[in-house]
Amino acid sequence: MPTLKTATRTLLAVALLAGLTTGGEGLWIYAKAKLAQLLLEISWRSALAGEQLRPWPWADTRAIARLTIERDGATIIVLAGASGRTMAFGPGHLDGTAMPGDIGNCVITAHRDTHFAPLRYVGPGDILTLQRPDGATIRYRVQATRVVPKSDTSVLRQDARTRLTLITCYPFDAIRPGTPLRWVVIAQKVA
Amino acid sequence: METNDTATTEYKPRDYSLERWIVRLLLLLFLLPFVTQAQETTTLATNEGAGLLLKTATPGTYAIVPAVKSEVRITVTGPIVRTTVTQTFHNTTGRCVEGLYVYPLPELSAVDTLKMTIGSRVIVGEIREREQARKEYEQAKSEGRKAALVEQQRPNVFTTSVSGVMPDDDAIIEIAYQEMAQYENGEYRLRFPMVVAPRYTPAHTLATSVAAKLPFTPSGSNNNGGTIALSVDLQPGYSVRNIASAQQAKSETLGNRHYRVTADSSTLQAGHDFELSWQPDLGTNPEATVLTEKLGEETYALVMVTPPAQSAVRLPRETIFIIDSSGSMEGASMQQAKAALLLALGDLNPGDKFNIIDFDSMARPLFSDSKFADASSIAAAKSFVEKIDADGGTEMLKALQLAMPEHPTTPSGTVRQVIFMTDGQVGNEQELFSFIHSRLGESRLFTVGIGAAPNSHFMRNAARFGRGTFTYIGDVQQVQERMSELFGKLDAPMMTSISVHSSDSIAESWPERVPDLYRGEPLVVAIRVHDANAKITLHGSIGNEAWSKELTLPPAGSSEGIARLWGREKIESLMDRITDGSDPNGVEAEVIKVALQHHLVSQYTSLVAIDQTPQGLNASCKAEPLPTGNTPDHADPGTLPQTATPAGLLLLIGGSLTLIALIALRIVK
Repeated sequence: MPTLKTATRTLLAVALLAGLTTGGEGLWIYAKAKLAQLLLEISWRSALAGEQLRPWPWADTRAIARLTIERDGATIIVLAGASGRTMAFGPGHLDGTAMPGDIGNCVITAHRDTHFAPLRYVGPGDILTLQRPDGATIRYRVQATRVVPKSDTSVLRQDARTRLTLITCYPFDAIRPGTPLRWVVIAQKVA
Repeated sequence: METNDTATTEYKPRDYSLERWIVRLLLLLFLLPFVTQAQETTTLATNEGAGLLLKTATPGTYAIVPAVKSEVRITVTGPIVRTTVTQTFHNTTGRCVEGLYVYPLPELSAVDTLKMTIGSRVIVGEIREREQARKEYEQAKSEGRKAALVEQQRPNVFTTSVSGVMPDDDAIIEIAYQEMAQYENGEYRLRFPMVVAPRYTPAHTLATSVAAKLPFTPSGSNNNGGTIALSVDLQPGYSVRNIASAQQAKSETLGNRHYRVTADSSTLQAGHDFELSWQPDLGTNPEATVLTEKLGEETYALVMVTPPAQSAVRLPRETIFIIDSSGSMEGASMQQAKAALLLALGDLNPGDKFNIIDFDSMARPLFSDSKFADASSIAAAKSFVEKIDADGGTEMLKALQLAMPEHPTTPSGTVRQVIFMTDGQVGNEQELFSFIHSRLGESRLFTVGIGAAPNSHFMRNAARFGRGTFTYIGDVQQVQERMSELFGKLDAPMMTSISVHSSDSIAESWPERVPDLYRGEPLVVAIRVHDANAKITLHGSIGNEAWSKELTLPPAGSSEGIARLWGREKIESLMDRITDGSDPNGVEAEVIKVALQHHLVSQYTSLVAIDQTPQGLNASCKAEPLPTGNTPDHADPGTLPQTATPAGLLLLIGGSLTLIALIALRIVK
């Protein structure tokens, strides 16, 4: 059946193409996350020098802090707003929560498989630091890590303590993106 | 997976195996869009319906209960809008239940008053220092008393827990909050979201067709659920005309400058917000009135000055535009600023003077001195604006020094307005504030915030020190509208250099520096005096003529919210001191004092709900969760942001698909 064979081949070629583009799309997500951080680092240095340059000309967000996880020395530039679009480039600071170092709860979220992948190794006692655009650095000590359902908004609660809360998806190794659980790192400012 | 399937091909007819392959591939292709869509879930919802959410047997899911009766009482004092909502819920589930009361709030307001009556128990909200509130809550809990810590967990949504509602009991929940009426195009406007109405279903997150399945059924009513009554007590401080609402609310005049508007279930529709608007009835002269409220020993006065309908003389103007062309403005921000400036140039009157100062690392004026807005100077200005490019640093001070010289050459009686367009990304805010404060003189500073995330703290305060206003332009589409609004207002200052004095020497007024009076927009000043018989004197200039008025404080009437407005502004100015470098602990103590006195929720105080029922009468019950089966699934309020990318999944699918296709292609050969 030569016609069936040709049809099968065509179909398989289409499948091959679909496979390559899908895989490419996946790789692109990782590449975007890495590349954006390089550009953001440049923008951040300009902010420290007194005037923040846009990381890329069409950027619709801005860098608000540099997060360092002291355990592995990883530094990540944090952006304003925790929308999916922002989080493609870097961790997002949740609007309406305290700004770094301010009284209240500063909440930052990022993807478990890109910027916040290192969080799985973070535990109580670890030091997290946030650098602000004015150069001031605030140190936080991790008090607890918790797994909560995504409906548990109590971790966003604002009160008179100066805290930093990092949120990412849990479990870290899950393959599906839409998990109902979140990994929450709660840290308190070191006086 | 591949090895298994290739193994099967050895003893199965090839065609059959191929078909299976193809079916699998097609299935994968078909499923792909669904799987990748999973990432597009919601982040925190900001606004939803109101009501009582009851716990069900499934943790985190609730059943929503509509109110049997809702009563909304709104009092308007000047521009202050104070809303009290009382909702009654009836427990027809036949079991003891507990849940959450949820209410969406307008932006920038917080619930400051709470009263819950559950059966025979009375629970009242009290303002406490945060740490104190937490301790009392823990203590009450350990003693087995009911207590609820009412903290705003999300912006604009109020929640409090409601526990131990016995079968057939009523739960009556009363909350109050305060906001300011919106002012736009010569009229004031207030909006009440009709989410308190029983059958309202918001666009997202809350379950649909809830009413049909509810265990709580509104008793003795038709299937529309409960009743609602709304009343507005309007004391704007001036005569009004055109009290209008889309809901055909009834309005009546109660007395001098005192009105009442009422509406009920017959005209109010769920899902359609109640809106009310009114316009000041302006005379030929500026007028001043005062309303008072008493709190403790002090009297709080709200002074309002209404402008005349038409200005007697149009004063000559001098407008200085400052445009920020530093690197941070590059892209859309620069385009917006240029568009706004070109629009403003077209709006100038030939008899008025103007100048433009462009700054980045340096400040460049268009003309060495302001020029009349004739054809040739406008043309020069337009080509100057076209050439502006965004790069370099942000030396704002140099631009301000040019715009506000030590010895201005402007003749007296001229309105001097400085319009400052920037994204406000500066490091030396303090230096700039004190410069504006000391050099302002007769000038007025209006800031126009441009771009995705302008520094609004800087711009709001710069305008406050500059006795002007702050206008925010979010995107290019808004430039025309916002700028016309601003220029329409700036065109006609009706009275300038306004000051408020009181015979009470320790009186404290807000705002400290009174802005000018513009066409169509009444001016408001809140004052705290110790002497209830104090006299308040207003001074101002209309053109070159002096104007003054003396006011005697009337006895406190039904006005509500003046003391709270004063307190809120006081707290805001105290909080600003932290940014200005004051000791945060000192500020904290002062804020707590004001917040406790004025019953306000603040950064350092919260509302605690404390059971006031005498011991022994505390007929509470142990709540049983509702069975999940017959209740709508409702995982709320809110979810945490989605924090995983589909990258791994895409790679897996893409990789397997590629591999499978390659292997299959080889087999087909």
